[in-house]
Amino acid sequence: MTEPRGLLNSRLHGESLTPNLDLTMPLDPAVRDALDDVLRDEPQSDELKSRVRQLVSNWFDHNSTDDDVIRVVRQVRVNIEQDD
Amino acid sequence: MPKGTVDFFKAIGVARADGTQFGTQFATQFDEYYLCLLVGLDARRLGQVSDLVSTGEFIKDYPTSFQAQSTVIAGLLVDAELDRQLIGAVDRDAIQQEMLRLLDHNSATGLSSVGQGLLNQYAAGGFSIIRDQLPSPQSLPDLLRAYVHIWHPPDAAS
Amino acid sequence: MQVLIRGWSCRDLRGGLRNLSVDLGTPPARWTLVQMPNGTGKTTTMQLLTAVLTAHDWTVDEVQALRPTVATTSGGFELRLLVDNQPLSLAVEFDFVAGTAEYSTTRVRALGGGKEPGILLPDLLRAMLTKDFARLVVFDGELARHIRDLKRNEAALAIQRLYRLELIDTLSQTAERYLESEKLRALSSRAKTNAGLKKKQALRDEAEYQLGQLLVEREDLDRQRDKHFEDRARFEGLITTRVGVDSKRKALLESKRADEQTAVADTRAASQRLLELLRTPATVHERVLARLRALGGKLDQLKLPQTMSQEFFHELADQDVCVCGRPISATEHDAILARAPHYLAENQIAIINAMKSAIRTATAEHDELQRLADAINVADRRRRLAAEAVQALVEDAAAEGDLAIAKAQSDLMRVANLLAAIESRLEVLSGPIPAGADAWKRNIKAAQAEFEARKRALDDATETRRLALQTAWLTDVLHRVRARAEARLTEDIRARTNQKLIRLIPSESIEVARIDGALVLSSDEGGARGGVSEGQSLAVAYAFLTSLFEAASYQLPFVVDSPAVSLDVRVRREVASLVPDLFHQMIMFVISSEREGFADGFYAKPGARFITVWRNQAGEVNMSQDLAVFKAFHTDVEPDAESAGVKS
Repeated sequence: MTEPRGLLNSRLHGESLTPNLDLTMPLDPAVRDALDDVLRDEPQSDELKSRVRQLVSNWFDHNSTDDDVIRVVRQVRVNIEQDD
Repeated sequence: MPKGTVDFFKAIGVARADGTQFGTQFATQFDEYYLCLLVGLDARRLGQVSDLVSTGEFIKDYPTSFQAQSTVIAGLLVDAELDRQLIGAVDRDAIQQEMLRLLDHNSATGLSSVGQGLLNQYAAGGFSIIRDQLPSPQSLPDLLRAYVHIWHPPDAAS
Repeated sequence: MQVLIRGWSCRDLRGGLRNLSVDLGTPPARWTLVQMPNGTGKTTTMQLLTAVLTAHDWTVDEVQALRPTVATTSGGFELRLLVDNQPLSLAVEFDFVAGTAEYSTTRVRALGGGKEPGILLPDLLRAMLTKDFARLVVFDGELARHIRDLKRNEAALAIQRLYRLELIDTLSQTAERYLESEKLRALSSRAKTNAGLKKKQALRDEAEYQLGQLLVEREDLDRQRDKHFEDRARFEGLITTRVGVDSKRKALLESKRADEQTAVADTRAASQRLLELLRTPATVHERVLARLRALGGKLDQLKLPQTMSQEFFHELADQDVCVCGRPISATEHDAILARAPHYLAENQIAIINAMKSAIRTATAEHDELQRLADAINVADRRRRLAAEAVQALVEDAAAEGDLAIAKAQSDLMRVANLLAAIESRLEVLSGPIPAGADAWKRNIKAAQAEFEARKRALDDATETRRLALQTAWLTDVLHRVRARAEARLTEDIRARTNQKLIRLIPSESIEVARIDGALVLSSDEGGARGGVSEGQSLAVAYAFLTSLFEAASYQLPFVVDSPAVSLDVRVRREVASLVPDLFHQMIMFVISSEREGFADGFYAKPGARFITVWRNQAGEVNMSQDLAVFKAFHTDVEPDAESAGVKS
């Protein structure tokens, strides 16, 4: 049985095409808690922290792109004058 | 570092009985400085400025193992200076001026550059006392034993 | 995600696997015990399971090893799974003539099923099922040893893989790669217009190169030093041997050498503690503490620092009206400002208060100081005596005309000098940053600092500094997250493992002291490494594995070969009682001697399946799913053909 080209292409790249499979994995509590602990004391906005959490969660889910990473990084608030 | 110290303490960096562990037995060069410093401060003795490699350049800040002691060291400096200059215990203004002269909250060591310079001089002073009393120590245990001796001579009732 | 094994089939493979199909039912049995004597293909079956799960790369030899007869041209193996309730089959087809293997996957698809080439697992599963990890799922007894082998990292790696912690690293790396590409882009686009940029880049490269050189030099010196240590040990050994020709002398020499070593260790330990103690100034002498307290008292008495700060007077000068009510004109303003410097600034007040507080809390431990100095004395004297005794023994032997000793002694001296030279060079290289502007050319820490500084200058010039800081923030956060998560998981797993061990081996106190790479038992630390029996080792491995898996959100099946054979009966019963509830699905290949104490624990379980595979006298392989056959089976007694049930 022939399949539409789009699906065929995706399959060649090794993606799974079984929508019934539960492919989402919530972040393991150990990682999630560690993330919360570390972010808590960081001087960044709540929005940014929330985006970082989502980034890590998506990353673990294999549901993110390099571009996602770039956009979050560029949102990080830093002090350029600081001597590190 | 007071100039002669590197040679004086050289054996400690190198000598080891079984060689299985590398690393100067002083965790940092600062340990050597500090041991000299305590002696100099206690004796209220400044060493020669010319003995120093460069004033203030040596210590920009304390190694982490010493940071907790920075305010105590500042206190000892103030105490030594008040004594060395015989500033009276009730001379409030003078005492205050001294502290103004020696301390700086913004610096990593808590000392002003004047204070820093004096600290180095006390270290130089302490070094010359140690050098007079001990031959160049061949090992860390050697040094430490002798050092404790300097502070607590066995003849004195302790 | 949940993975279950539904069954597997072998076709035209060597051993008992000509035609064998095992079915675990629908839904698949939670516990399956397969009694497969040696020679029926048990090892091969486990190899095949691992191979399809990890998409193993078959060599020609490996393929040929499965060929049953010269006449057979092809064979195959299929593993049937249920992944989150969806059937998935992984198969491998062998071409014995060409010596090749081809994989295929069959799965339910929204748009029709069918076989697809390759092993196609869901991404998450595929990422996890590396060859090493698969050994946790298809468990071989070797792993039990590997988890405790200190030279390996198996236990820590298992944790990292199951919880996919390396993903945190790949995320960091993605951010860093982007940063690098941005820097390159900035450099190439701006370099044409900015010569200074090229120069900064050259400076940075120079520092990087220098750092590299110093690191290489250090490695080199370390190697040389290690070689000299070996030489020294050899010469010392030679002397010992020669001296030891006289056996009384030898015993004495060894005992004195041992004394010397413990004395050195004691001296060193006491010295380090003493050094640490000395770092607190007040400890050094009562006088120091007394002076600090006197200073504190003096300041209190004089009410220093006063609470009024310079800042107060600056602000006052700007007011129209003084605190006393009088107006402040330009004259008063100037006068106040002129006097203000006589008062301490707020931060100076703060530091004096901090100093007073530190003084107040300073304590002394003069007795301890003295005690340690005495301890050093004593230990050092012991060392000297022991060293002298050693030397005397050596010289006695040398005096008896032993040329070999004399030569070894001079070799030792030579090596000692070489070592001293290396140590002092290493000291400059690896030690604290020396004074002088060219420190970075001689010292590694200085070189690192210089490299960082020049890198930063370049980043500033290419305007990637901001991005660099941002990236550094993220990678730092991720690094800490990983460390924390790993530590917490490791500790959690360690605790669970120990809880199980208490149940499994209550009479011995066998516990996991820590997991650094390998599982380190408390008994390992004492130095008595041989102290744990094979059975106990296996129990530790099970306790660890079950703890590892129970906490994860994956549910994987667990296939094990002879889970209980080296355990004694009592431990077997414990393992049998502990283990069934902890795995989501277990397939255990057992031999008849494991029935007692282990398999019998499963007979009453409703969800259990019992399969027996054997070869009959004609050499054909039979299979039965009858519990009675399973119970009665003995390798040298062929089951009754009638009660045997299905011949497969």
